[in-house]
Amino acid sequence: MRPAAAVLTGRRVLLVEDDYFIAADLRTWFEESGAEVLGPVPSVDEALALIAGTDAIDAAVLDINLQDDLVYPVANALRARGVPFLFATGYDLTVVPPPHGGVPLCQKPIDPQMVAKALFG
Amino acid sequence: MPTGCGELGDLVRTYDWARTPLGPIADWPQSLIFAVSTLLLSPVPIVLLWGPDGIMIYNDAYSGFAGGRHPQLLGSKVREGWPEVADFNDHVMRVVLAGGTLSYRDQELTLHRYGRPEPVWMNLDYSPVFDEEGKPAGVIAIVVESTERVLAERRLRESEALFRTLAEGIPQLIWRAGIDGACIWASPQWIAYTGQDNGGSLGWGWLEAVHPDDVAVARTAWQEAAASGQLSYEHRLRNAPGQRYRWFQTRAAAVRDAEGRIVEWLGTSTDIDDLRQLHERQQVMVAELQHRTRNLLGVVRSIAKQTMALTGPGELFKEQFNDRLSALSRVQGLLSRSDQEPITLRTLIETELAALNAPTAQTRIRIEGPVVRLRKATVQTFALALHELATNALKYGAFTAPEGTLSVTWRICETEEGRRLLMDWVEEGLVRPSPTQNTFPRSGYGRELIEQALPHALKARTRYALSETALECAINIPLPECETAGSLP
Repeated sequence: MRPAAAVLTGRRVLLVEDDYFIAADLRTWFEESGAEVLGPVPSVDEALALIAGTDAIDAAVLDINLQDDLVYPVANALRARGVPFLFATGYDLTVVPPPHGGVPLCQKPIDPQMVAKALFG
Repeated sequence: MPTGCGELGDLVRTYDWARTPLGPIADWPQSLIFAVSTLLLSPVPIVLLWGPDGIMIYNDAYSGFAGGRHPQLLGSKVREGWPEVADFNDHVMRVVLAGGTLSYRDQELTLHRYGRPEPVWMNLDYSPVFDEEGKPAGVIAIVVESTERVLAERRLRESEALFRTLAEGIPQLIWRAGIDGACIWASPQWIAYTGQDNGGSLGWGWLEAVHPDDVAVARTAWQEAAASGQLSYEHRLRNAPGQRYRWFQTRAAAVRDAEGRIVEWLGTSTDIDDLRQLHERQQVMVAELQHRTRNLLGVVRSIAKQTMALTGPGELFKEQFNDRLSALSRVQGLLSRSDQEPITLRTLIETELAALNAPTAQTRIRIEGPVVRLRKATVQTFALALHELATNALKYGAFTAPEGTLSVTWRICETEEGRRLLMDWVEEGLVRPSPTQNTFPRSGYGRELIEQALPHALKARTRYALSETALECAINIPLPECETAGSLP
């Protein structure tokens, strides 16, 4: 097992991504790494509902630009619960306003190894 | 008769006046002697026109004015001496010999002093000279040429007009400022644009038209201008008629004295608002393009992985992956043209079927529904799902069976959840592949896209039902107002 993946075993990871293909890819990768995937969900509302209805969330990967919204309300809900998360964006990092202090920002296509490292060290 | 009095003094004294109606000088009346003496002594150009014929006697100053006509002019009749202005002089003679006076300022006449016509401007003053009986016997004419001044003034006016045309006609706002930036003069365009009339822009008044957030930029630029000899900065300027700020680029050149010291600045402010907006739009477009490209790479990676998971490595992977890449590529083409050519559901369906060379006979295929314009964000997923349906129809479905038909129909419904698009993809007359037949079954990928991708990305509700002889696929997606294109035919 790859070292980066080892840290994911048994982790419950929330995926918020509106593009089906990217979401499916991420889910496959997290599941192959032994993580349990929550979602993926494509919208802020569905993400908030999922968070509210789930007791244990270990980490989250949030696409910043969802179809009609920005993902920030989801980030706030996760922060309130102390859940570590990172942002993913397809925009150039120079044009994305720095979102939340200290939150890692990954450029798409995201490298799962980097995600694991950013979330679980 | 006085002695001296220059060239004309000599000429008058020695001229054979006996040949003229005046007779020899010895016979001249005292009034004539007096008038001639006075004009000969004057430094001002004066000519005496004596008697009804206006016999001409003039001084040195006048001979300069007469040019090539001198000295023949002396003793000649005024109407003959200046034939080109005979009418003018005839009028003068009649008026003044009747006791009147005439005065002209900058009177333009065409004279032939040097054998060719030339326009000449003069200040002319005519008054009568009275004889011993107290009757007008001659005309004293003071002739001061003003051609040079008139032409100089005319050149100045033309030059000013040119400057005004330039300053008021070019589409920039023009101004002059002192060495520190205090405005000395602002062009009419500045006044029209900012509404700062009655000298409102003068001194530091112009700063009031500058956007408050840009005042510091303007002040800094002026502080640095003296040292660098250059002034160039961008700022917003309030447009009084439009009640809004527009972006301007202000540039100025230093005007220097003989020692090279800056004495003032000559500047222009150019409206660059449209240019800036275009630039901003381009930046957004570039960012969007980059976004789309990065997402696309993610999509390609995902499709490769999922295709591989279903086919394993080999020929089948190559074939299916290439097909899907081509479908992706077609949808990118539609997206890149979508600003000029909105993407409709029909376009998507027909593009996919055409790319796969599906039969077009109306007995086998039916595509029917109102014009539905699709949001760009939904197009890619929709197109890939339709691609899978079309591929399956062609390779394993309706178009592989001799009696197979495909019907794609859609309609728009107003529901409690808002407008929705209901699309039915129905293949009939399918032939169940025999168990011995070595064909690959319908790939599960199409079904996955219908059952999972569309609900995820488009909030769709879908149904996918495959029986032995028919495939019924129903897609029900929310359709925001903007997706029905009433304006399209």
